[in-house]
Amino acid sequence: MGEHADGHLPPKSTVKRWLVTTNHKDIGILYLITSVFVLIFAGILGLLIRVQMWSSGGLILDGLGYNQVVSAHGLLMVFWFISPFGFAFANYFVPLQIGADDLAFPRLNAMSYWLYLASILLFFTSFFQGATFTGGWTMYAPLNVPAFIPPVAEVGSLSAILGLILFTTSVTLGGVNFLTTMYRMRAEGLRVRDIPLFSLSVLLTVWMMLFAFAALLAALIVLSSDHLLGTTYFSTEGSGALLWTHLFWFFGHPEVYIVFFPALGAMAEIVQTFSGRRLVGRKWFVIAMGLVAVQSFIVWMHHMFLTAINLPIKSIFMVTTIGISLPFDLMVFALIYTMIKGRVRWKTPFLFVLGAIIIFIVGGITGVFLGAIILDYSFRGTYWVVAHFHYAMASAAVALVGAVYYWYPKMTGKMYNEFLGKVHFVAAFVGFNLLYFPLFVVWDTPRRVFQYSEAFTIWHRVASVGAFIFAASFLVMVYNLGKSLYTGDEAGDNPWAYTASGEWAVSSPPPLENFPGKPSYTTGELTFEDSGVADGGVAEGEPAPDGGAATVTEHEQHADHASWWPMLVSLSALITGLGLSGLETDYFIWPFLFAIAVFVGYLGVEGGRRDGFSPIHGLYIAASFPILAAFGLVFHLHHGIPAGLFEGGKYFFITIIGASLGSMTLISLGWESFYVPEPELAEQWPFGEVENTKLGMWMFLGSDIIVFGAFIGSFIFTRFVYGWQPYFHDAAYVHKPTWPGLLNTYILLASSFTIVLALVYAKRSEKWKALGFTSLTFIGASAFLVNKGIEWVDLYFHQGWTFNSDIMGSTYYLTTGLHAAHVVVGMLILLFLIARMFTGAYMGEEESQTIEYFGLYWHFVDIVWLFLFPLFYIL
Amino acid sequence: MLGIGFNTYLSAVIAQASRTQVDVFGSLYLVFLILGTTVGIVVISYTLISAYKYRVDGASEEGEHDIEVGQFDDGKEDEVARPELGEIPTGKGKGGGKKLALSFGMSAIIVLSLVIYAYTLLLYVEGAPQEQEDALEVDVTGFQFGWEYEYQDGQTANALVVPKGEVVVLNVTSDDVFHNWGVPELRAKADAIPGQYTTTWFQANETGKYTAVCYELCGTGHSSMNGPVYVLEPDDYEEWRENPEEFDIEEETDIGGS
Repeated sequence: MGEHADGHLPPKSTVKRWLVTTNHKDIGILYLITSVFVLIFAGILGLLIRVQMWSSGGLILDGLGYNQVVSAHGLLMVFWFISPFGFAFANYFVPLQIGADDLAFPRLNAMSYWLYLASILLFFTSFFQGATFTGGWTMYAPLNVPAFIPPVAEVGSLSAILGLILFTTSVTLGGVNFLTTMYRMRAEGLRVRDIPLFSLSVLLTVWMMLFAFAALLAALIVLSSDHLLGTTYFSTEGSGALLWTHLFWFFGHPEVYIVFFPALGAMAEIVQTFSGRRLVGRKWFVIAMGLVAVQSFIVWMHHMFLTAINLPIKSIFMVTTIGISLPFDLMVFALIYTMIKGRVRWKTPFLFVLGAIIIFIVGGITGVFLGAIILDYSFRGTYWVVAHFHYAMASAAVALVGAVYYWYPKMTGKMYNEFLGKVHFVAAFVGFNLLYFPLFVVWDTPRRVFQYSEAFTIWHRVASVGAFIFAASFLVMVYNLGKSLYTGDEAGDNPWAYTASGEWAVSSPPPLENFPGKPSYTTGELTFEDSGVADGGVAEGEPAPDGGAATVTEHEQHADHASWWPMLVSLSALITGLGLSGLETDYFIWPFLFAIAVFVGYLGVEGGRRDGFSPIHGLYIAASFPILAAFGLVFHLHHGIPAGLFEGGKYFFITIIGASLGSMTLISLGWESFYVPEPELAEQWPFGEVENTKLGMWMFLGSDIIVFGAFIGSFIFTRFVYGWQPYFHDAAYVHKPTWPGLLNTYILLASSFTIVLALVYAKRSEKWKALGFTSLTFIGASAFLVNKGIEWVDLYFHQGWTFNSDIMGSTYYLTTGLHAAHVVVGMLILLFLIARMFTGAYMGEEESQTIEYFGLYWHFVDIVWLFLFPLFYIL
Repeated sequence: MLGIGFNTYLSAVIAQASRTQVDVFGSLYLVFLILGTTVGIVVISYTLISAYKYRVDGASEEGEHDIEVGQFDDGKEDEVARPELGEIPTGKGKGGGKKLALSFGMSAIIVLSLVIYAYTLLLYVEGAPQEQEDALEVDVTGFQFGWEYEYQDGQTANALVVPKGEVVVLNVTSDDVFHNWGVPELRAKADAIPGQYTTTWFQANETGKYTAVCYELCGTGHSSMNGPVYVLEPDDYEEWRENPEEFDIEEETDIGGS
C-alpha cells in the first residue's frame, strides 16, 4: 500500500496503463481529456458558424457545408462534450464522495469510456465519407431518412446515427454502473440523502439518463433500420415526422436536465465551500432536484406547440413547463442565500460558479418566455431559442469549468495560477455575454439560416467578436493548467477552507485505493477504520476467484485490475459501425450470421483454453464449421460466391471483420475473471438484500423496458395516426400468422420454466440436471426462432410482404425483430453458460447466481413477447 | 382547469377587441419582458451584492491558497453553520428556510399569474378569429425549397396574396420534409408537416410586401427558402384574384421593390 501502489496496473507513465485501466480515477481523467478535445473541435465548428454569420448570405460555407457545421456542432456539444465532461468528474469523485473503492463494475466503466471514444471516432469518420449528418442536432424526420438526405451525405449520416447508438450504449452501461454503486456501496452510516450534493445530482442524472436515453435508443434503432433495412417509420406521411418529434423530445427535454444537473451539483458544492456556509435549505434543494427529475418527463411537448396538438394538451404542457421553473427558482435562491453571512472568497472556481448562476438566471427567465404558448409561436425556430438554450446549457459548461479549477488541485496535487484563472474568467464571461446577449436583440433571425435582415448585421457581428473572445479565453485555461502541472505550487490535501466532502480528506491526488482505511460515517463524521480489520470481505485462505491465485493479498481485495477487453470490444463495435454505415440492405444480415459461426467456434477454442478442454468444446468447434458452411451455402444461393462478395464491397468486409472480432472479444471478456469484492459493511438502503450484479441487471432491464415501451408506443402511435383499421386492412400480406405466434408464446413460457428448474438444480449442485434444463431452454429458444423463421420466410418471400411494403410491415418486422434479436443474444449467452457448466461452473448457492441473472433477462424477454403477441398477432 | 365559464367570458371580452396576432404577441411579450427584466435585474443585483458584501480576503501568503478556517473565530458562536470536513451534510442547518419559502412563494405567484394571463390570450388566439365564417382560407404547402398557396376556389400561386384588414386562415402542410411557415412581421407561424394540416391565422392591417421564411431546417436550400407575401388593398386583391396572370403586383401597386 505504498504511495506508488498501482495495484495490478502498469505505471501511469506508460501508454498501456491508459488502455487497460479500470480504475475510476483514471477513467475520469480519460473522460475529461477526451471531452475537452470534443469541446475544442465543436467550438471551432461554432466559430465557423459565427464567421458565416458575419454578414447576411454567409462568408465561407454553402448550404450543405453550413448544415453540416450546424448539425455537428450541436450533436457534439450536446452529446459528446457536455455530459461526458460532467461525467469525468462523476467518475473521479462519486466513489470518493460516497466512500467506495471504485464503481460497482469497474470493467464495465472502462467499457463505457471506450464505447464513448468509439462513438466519437465513428462520428468523426462521417466527415470523411462525403459529408456528415446535415439535419440538425434534433434530426427531424423525414429529413433524417435516405430519401431526403443529400446523396453525398448518405453514408456519413448513417455513421453519425450509429455513432449516437454507440454513445447511447455507453451512457446506459454507465447509468447502470452508477446506480448500482450509489445504492450499494456507500460508506457505512451515509444515507442516500446524506450524499454530498454533487454525487446526489449525479444520482438523479443517471436515473433520468437510464430512461431518457432508452427512448433515444429506440428512436435511433428505428432510424437506422429506416436507413439499413428500408423500413418506413419516419417517411410515412402523417405519422413519421410527428413520431420522431415525440420520441426525440421525450428524450430531449430530460436531456437538458441531464446535462445541467452535474453542473448544478458542482455549483452547490463550490458555493458552499467558497461561502463558508452550509447550503441554505439543503433539504428543499434536494427535493426540488428530485421534482425536476420527475417533471422533466412531462414537459416534452412544449417543443411541439406548433404541431397542431390540441388545446387542452398544449395548455397542460404550458403549465408543466412554466411550472418546472419554480423548483429551479428555489435552487437558485438557495445558492444565493448561502452567500449571505458567509465568508465569500472570490477564487476562480467561485467566480465561474457566480458567472454560471447569472447566466443561468438569464437562461431561466428567457425559458419562461418560451413556455408561454403564444410567445413560443413566434419564438419557434428563431434565435430566441438559440440564445436561450445557450444561456441555459452554457451555464452548465461554465459551472463545470469552475469545477475544473475547484478539483484541479485534488486531481493533480498542484495549484493552478490564480491570476490567470481570473483572467480566464473575465474573458470568458465578457466573451460569452457578448456572444449570446445580442442574439436576444436580433431574435427574429431564423435559426440555422445564414440570411437575415440587414438591420441585424451589427448585432451578429458583435456576437461573432464575442465568440472569438470566449474561445480565446480557453487558451488561457489550457496554458494555465498545463503549466501548473509542472510548476504549480503543491496544493496539499485540502487547499480550500470549508470543504466538507470525502475527497478532501484524502491525499492529492488520491491513492489508487482511494482511502487509507475503511471509510465510515457511523460516528457522525467521516472516519477511516483500520483497513486490516474492516476491509476483510474475503475470508482468509479462501482462494480468490481471480486467476486462481491461492493467496489473498491486499491488492486483490481491490478492484484495480487491468483488462484489454473493454477497449477491444469497443474497437470491434467501432469497426462494425463503420461497416454498417455503407452496407447495402441485401447484405445486412450476412456478417452477423457469419459472426455467429465464429462465436460458436471461438467459444470452443477459448473455453478449452481457459477451463481445460472437454467434449463440449470439441462439439462447439466441430459445430461451427457446418454452421458456417450452411450460412455460406444460403449466401451462395442468394447472392452467389464470389459475385456476392465483390458486390458487397469494402463495407461488407469491414462489417464481417467487426462482427467476428466482436464475437471473439466478447467471449474473452466473458471468460476473463474479474473479481470485484462487494463491501461487507456498506450502507445499501434500499437495496440491502440484492447483490450488485442483480441490481445492475434490474436497472438494465428497467431501461430495456423503456426501449420496448418506445417501440410499442411507436407502433400504437403510428397505427392511430394512420387509422386503426386501415393500418391492418391495407397491409399487403395474405395470411396472418396467429397460430404460429400462439405456439411461440407457449414455447417461450416453457423455456422460462426450464431456466428456473436449471437454477434450482444448480443451487443443489446437481450438474447434469442443471445442464439438461439449461439445454432445454436453449432448445426452446431455438424452436421459437425456427418457428419465427418459417413465419418470416413465408411472409417475406412467399407472400412478398417486406419491410417497406406498408407501414404495418415496418412495425411488425422491426418490433418482433428486436425481440428476436433479444432471443438470439439470450441463446448466445446460453451457449456460453452451457460450456462453462459442463466444466463445473455455476454450481452451488453462490455460484449459481449467474444463472439467476440470466434468468431475469430471459423472463423479461418472455414478458415482452406477452405484449407483442396480442399487439401484432391478434389486434 | 380554470373553469369553462370563466374562460368563455374572458375570450368573449377579448374577442371584442379584435386584435391581430401582432397585437396579442406584442402585449404579452411586453408584459413578459418588463417582468422578466425586472426580476432578472433584481435577482442578479442581489446575487452580486451578497457575494460582494460578505467577501473576505483570501490570504495568499506563501504556500497558502485560501483563508484559514479558524481565522475569523472571535470566541462567539457563529450565526450560521459552517461546513466541516467529513461531516454528514444533513442536520444542523440553521436559518434561511423562511426566506427561501418566501422567495419561492413570490416567484410562484408571479409565475402563476403569468400562466393565467398567457392562457387567456391563448384562448383568444386559438379561438374566435379562426372560426370566423368569412375568413379567407388558404392552403399552404411547403416543399424543398419554396411555398405553394392554394385558394378555396382552386387558384394556386407561389406568392401569398391577401387583402388588408381581413382575417386570413392558413392550413399548412408539406409535400416532402418538415418545414415551418412563418412571417415574422405578422407573427404568424405554423409547422408544415407531411401528411398533417396545421392551422394558423393572421390579419395584416398595412399593405406591403412581407417575406415568408422557413423556420425548420429542411435541407441544403433551407437558408434561402423565402417566399413573398403581398398584403394589398382589397380592390387590388380582387383584381389580382380575377386575373393573376395579368396583374403584376409589384408594378401595378406601389408595394414591393424593397
